[in-house]
Amino acid sequence: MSLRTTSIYLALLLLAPTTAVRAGSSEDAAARPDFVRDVMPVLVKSGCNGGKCHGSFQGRGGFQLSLFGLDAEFDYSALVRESRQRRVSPAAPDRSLILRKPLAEVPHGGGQRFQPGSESYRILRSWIANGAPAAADFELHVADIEVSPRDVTLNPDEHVALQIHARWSDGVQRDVTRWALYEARDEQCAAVTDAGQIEARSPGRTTVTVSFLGQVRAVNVTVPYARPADPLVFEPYNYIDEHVAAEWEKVGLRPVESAGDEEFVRRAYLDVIGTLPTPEEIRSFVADPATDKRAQLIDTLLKRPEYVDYWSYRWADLLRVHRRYVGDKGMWSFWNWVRRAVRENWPVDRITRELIVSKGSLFSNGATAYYFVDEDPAQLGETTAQLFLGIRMQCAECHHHPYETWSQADYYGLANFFTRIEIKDNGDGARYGGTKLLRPVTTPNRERRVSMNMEPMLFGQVVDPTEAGDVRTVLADRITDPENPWFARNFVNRFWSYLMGRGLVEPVDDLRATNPPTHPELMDALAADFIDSGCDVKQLIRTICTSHVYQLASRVEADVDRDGVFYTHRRYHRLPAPVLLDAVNFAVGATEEFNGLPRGTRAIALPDPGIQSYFLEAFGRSPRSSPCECATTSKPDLIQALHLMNSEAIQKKLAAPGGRIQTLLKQETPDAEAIEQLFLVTWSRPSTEEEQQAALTFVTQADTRQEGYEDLLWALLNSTSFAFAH
Amino acid sequence: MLSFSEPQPSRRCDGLSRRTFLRVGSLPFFGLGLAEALASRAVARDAQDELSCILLWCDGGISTVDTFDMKPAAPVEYRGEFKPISTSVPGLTVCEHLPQVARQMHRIGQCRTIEHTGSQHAEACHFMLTGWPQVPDVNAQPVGSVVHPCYGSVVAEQLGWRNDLPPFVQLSRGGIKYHHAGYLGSALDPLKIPGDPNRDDFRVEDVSLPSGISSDRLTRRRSMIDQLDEFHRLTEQGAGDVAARNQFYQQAFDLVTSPAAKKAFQLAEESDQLRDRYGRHREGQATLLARRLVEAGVRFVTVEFNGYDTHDKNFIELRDPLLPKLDVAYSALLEDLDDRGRLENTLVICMGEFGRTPKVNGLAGRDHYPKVNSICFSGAGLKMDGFVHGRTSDKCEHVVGATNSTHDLAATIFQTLHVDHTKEYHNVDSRPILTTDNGRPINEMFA
Repeated sequence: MSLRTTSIYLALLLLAPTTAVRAGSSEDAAARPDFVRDVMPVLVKSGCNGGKCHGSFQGRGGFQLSLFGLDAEFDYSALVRESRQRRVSPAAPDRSLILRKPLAEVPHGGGQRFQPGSESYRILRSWIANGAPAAADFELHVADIEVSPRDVTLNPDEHVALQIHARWSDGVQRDVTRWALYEARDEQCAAVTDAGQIEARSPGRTTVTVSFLGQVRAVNVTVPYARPADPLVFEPYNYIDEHVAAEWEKVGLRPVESAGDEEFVRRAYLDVIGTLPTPEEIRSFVADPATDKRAQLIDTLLKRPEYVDYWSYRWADLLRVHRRYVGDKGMWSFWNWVRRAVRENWPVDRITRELIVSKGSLFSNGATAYYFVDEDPAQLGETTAQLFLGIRMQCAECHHHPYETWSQADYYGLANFFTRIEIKDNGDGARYGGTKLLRPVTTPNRERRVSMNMEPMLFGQVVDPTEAGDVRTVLADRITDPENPWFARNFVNRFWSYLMGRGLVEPVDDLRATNPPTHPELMDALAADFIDSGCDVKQLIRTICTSHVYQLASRVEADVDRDGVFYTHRRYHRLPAPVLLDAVNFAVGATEEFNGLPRGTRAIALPDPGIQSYFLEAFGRSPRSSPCECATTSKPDLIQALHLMNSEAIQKKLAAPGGRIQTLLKQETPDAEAIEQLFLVTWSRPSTEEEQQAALTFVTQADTRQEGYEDLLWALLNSTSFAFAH
Repeated sequence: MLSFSEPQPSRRCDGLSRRTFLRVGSLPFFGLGLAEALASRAVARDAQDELSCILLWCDGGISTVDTFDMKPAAPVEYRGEFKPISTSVPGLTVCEHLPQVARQMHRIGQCRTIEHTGSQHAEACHFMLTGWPQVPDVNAQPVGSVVHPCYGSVVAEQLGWRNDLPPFVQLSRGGIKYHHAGYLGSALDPLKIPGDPNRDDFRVEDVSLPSGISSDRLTRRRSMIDQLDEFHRLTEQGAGDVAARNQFYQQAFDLVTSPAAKKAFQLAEESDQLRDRYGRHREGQATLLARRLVEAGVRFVTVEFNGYDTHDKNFIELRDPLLPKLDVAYSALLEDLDDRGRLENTLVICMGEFGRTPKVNGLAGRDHYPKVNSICFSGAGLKMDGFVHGRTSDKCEHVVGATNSTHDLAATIFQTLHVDHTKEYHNVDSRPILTTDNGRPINEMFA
């Protein structure tokens, strides 16, 4: 700490002379404030430019400012030129509404924003008294901010003051700690004051976002747990374990015990193939004496046909395979393309490339559907950024991203990669089932114009379309370039979250400097490994599933590391809708009849949500309406509880002739064996002696044996352990 | 035993709206002590707790010029085939095919100033049911990810469960677009009852017990879940989704086994005379069911009247069956609520997603028209007695004078129900979103 403090002072000392020379003294600022350099920070810090206040698109109370204060000229004009000098009146500064409103001298929807005599007040008043001059240079902007410290470790109740230095585009440097905006991500862990003081509260890890006139930085905050007395006993299986264990040491955490074989087998089946293991599979795995049987199991699962079903469904959710976009035949073409990519384990860079540069007929090249799910070039740009880079650019369509450096130029630069294509159809359009032909062209298509025409640009690098041929190939090259830090991180983070129940970055498709990973080194290592493997998904799954961290036991409610940020235990998460429906059918011994598909088709093998299913709707299957992973919900609700416990449909399945219960009874299975089987097909483990006893009592107390078994299986289906992966 | 917590997931701890809170907060200034402040809090909570809402939703968009805003002086291609009749309010007229409603006009206040720009059903539903604009794509899917919560979901979020019955119920056969919780999440969606309450075998899917399962058997089954969870060391409340799921199971059991809920669904408890009065059809009996649900503790019930999308045969369809069904059900509801002394704490709204073109088209129909809406309000402290806010032009083509946005409509509904219409929520992108965008309650509507 002290060393860091010293270096901050050093930095300050070094900065001080420049500040004095270039910016003049602070009295100078107070005496002759510049609109951009002095007044804008006051407006922003006072909250005037917020999205809920005058930064809103409609403004507030007839007064509109630029969102987040990024357009000083606009704001100057709003203050000085509009409203007949009521907002700013140099002749009688104290009558200016821009002072009276925030002082709450007159009614103000936003309440009082500053005190009379405060620094904000003095700067504003002095600017008005000077005649409210325009800025010396409205192009002046903040080129960079330096935030220190960037990484802090604090014990609960300790605090540290941030220092923020801005470098303006004209070279002037200033301490703007007073004017920057601060936001803590998890206030339970650490809070931040308006003046930039971080206050640690309870153990965990979070970030504090600092922003100042368009520049944003994140400060990592770690609040360690009380140091455990016992040494860490944990055998690393691969590099993942070393990274995760290093963090445990740093924050003073210890992992729970490893999962037993039964827990592992259920987890591996659900995570890798979206399917529950059969009683025979459980028994033979548990009985297997091989020491490397867990790694072997993962390898076996990666070769199973259900692997193709399950991961095709996950990809189809991401890519939005749905007949509403491309009609029935187009949907099947797209779906078959996805299945082939998964079956043949195409590297992710190949999948990405084939989608982006796809051309030809929708019916013979399903990948072209990418251009019919989103038709608008701007939306194609958004989707491409979110899907392949994990970047949410949506905000930048209309305004500078509040927490990122993406501007409208970035947004439309990306959109302009998608203006040079021509689409031919036979008049009825893909959405109504007709075919479509996609062909790249060299000049922008007039029908695909976007609201800001410019050269295609990604990451600030402009592409000369005359040299590129099909500009989309350049886009695909840049996105899949091994040097591109976003691409690999985006995909390893997604797969990590599918398997571990939580992304290293959350939300998983929101990678940005101000939303750093919980384990930056692990993220880097996984990304590098992924690139080295040739973007091999199966290899990635293998690496994660064979780590020791993946194989830890689960806890419903841990005393420490509640959110599972440090992966000290496995968290419970509800099975995705199609996996749960398949699990229910497997347990009761039923098959589902989906409209137009052969009886017995699994829910994870459905091509799209155009296939009706009340169960899947109720449990929140993805509507495939957005490229955001947030579109799928696995949150429990009342409708789900009612359906699983009280529906005619489930009761019918329990009692069905040919179902599991009827079959057990017909075969006159002894009670012990029958009960054992019911536990195995739901909880994927044999019952304990105590459970056997209780279940037997329960079954025999029923009016009939059949009712008794129906009730037992019903209870197992409705238990927490069944509906959750753990 | 599983230790379930109170079945009230989202009730606010103080149960006060922001307005009330501001008022209470300023009380000590005037020398009011803590006891008095607490007492007034209790009053505020009681008042809020007793309020309910029944929304009669004319799905497809109801013609205003043929119903509540007739223009007998307009040319025939505008005024249409129907004649106005006098009502219980002198000087106020209504369509001849709403004779029973005519006798209830003193229990209705109208607002004619709402206009919006949603000319397709989906976007119009989003405007009228949430207050917010929403531009759907050609498949009526939302563009972008922000779908706003409808009124009932906001009420459910802010006020929570009153008792065993869920706070928000929808009585509709086919569903209503955007009539759900949007970004607030499915936990605040309405409980949907698609069944026809006019049928003798009416049952509430997933709420009524499945055939062959008695209440005792369900209770027995449930005892086994508790035992199983205990074996699995899940006796604690759990955290996150596990805790949430336990809570929803508790609510589901309470609802399924609740004598109050069971009773609420028993329309047979009503006299034949009253059931006839509401009309022996899905809409009529659903409206009666809505009244029973509100009495039993539901905060917001939407009843769908469908078929109002009268692009052709407008007059034939309205004459029979559309207006006669609405006529009996709507009038019976107002009379019945008032008889029971419940109109003062039940807000009744009758509206659709838009009005219809004032000029009759070539198929004797009327098309979508979001510029003109007649919204009928009753009860819950709003002006009635035939009060009409705003007026439309001679041919019913536009509002004359100041208009109100659907945000104002939302704010009016929320304010009436003592729900904070300025509350800030966050969507899935954690972008801050307000309940309404600067909506202002239409003060003229309040008594």
